[in-house]
Amino acid sequence: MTVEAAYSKWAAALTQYAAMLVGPDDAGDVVGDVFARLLAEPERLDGLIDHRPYLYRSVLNAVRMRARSDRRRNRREWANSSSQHGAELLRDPAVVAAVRRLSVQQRAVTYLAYWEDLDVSTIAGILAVSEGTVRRQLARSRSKLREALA
Amino acid sequence: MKDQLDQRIHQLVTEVHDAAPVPPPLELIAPQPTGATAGSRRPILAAAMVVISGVVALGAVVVLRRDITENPAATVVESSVPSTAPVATTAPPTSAEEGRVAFEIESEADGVAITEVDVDNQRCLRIAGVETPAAASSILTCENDVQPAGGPLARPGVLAPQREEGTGRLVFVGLHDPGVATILLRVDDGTLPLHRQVIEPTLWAPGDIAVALVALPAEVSQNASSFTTELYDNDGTVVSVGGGTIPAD
Repeated sequence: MTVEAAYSKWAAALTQYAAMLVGPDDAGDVVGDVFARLLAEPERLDGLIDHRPYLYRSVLNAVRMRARSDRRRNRREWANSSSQHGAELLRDPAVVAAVRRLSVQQRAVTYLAYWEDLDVSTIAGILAVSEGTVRRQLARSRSKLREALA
Repeated sequence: MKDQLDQRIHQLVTEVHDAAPVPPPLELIAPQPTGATAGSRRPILAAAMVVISGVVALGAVVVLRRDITENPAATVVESSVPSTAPVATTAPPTSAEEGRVAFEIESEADGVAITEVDVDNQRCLRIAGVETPAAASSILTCENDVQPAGGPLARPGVLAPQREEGTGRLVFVGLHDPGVATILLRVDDGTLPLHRQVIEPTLWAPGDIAVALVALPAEVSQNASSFTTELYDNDGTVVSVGGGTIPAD
């Protein structure tokens, strides 16, 4: 599969996934980073039978790289989302507050479980972690969201 | 109880999912051409702005390498124009007026998409989605010797918008320098924020200067009366705050 074909097929889904990880404002940039790297090194896609795990993992890694360098800015973006642009994008401030309580990995497993409807084994494969880790992160995510959404 | 929580979480995920933006065309995120290695980068000598003419794609990003010399020669190296309708750039002025060197790009056909321009034989500019109308149109201006901490372009980071003829859109040009990680642009009508956008070019190498074009739709620009900008560094600290008025049609 070429990078162009992968972008055509997966960009929208990856952007929606990235929106859960970093918020809607930065989602496009994260996915852009991933595909910019692939355009520079298209051989990364060679030999992959299933592109989804690789691409979802790449988005998560890109988010982590950004988080290391601008952790504070991400928090500001989520904070702004509740009062500025978020009025259009995320109407419910409780949603913003709830997501902010989750770690990046917890956001990822929550999205993959609740939106993509993936089972624990598949999520573990996509994120390259153990099934136990997925179960633990899902449980912590549910616990945090129970408090946040109460 | 568990089902109710699951339902709330699903609603939450759905709301975030629905708020995700639509991805831009792949061409807009293509890596910028690299004509030099990191070791060849020199201290900042140049900043850049793009004068809008014709149709500009939303969110197009132009990256200008910082080692632009004082009198660069520009050549269009890639465009959609057929060979029978050549694209030409004028020679830049021999003496730059206040550091500004302007290129005019001419074509004999409508809707020419200029996708890449050489400056000093280095493919340092990629202009995605810019189309020029037939006949002369100035779409590219390089400004030299604009230091990040001063000068008309360096701060507050977003230039006063231009109205795009024929579309009613407002086009902002945002300038990044190495000290600025993010520009937050707000467009207001005097009472309510009409638009908020984070300008964050991500494709430039450390030390490069990037220009982000933000084209706002006509329905926003019709009511817009002012804009404000906040520049943040990598630590999320506000570097400077700026803004201005938007003249009525």
